[in-house]
Amino acid sequence: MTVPTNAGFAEMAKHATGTGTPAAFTFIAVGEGTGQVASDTQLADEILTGDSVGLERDTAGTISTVQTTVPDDTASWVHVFTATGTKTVSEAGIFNLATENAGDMLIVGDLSPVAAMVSGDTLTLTMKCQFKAD
Amino acid sequence: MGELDARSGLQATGEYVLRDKNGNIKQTGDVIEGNIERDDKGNIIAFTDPNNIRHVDCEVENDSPD
Repeated sequence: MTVPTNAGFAEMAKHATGTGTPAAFTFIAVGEGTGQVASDTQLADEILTGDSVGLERDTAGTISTVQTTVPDDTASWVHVFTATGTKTVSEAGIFNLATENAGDMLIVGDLSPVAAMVSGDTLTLTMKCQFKAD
Repeated sequence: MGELDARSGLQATGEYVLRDKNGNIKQTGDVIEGNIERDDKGNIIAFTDPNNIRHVDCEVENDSPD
């Protein structure tokens, strides 16, 4: 199970009330670190544009709401990362800012097992966050 | 203040599919909490170490010297 973060709860409260000019969580990022917990606000070791491996933070390819328990109770992000070099992806998170290592992180988790990528490989990542009623 | 539903909250999940350049699936996996897997009651049931070895039904002991 992936971890909803403390910052994520705060941003969701802002969205619910329309206060604090919250930004939508439309960005997805992967990294080489592990072990982030609810109090963290960024990935442990985000893969950056400067790494030149094609795995930098991006707008999620498909963003939608889907049903887990009741209709549209779950936010869903699906994105395909294509590697242009060699990198081992071990963590992923959802953000509300395009800028790398910045913004608020809604949810975070470690890939199990890690995904060792070489140039030409694709990583289809699906992250979901349910507003859980049960 | 009355509690509406103590069970409510955010619950996040994740999964992935890794494919080679020809579209063949190389590996699939989950996105989990900090290398830790828990059952529905929150009990730790497994973890994956940095060497990508998944440990199931075991305990972590502190072997550091006093």
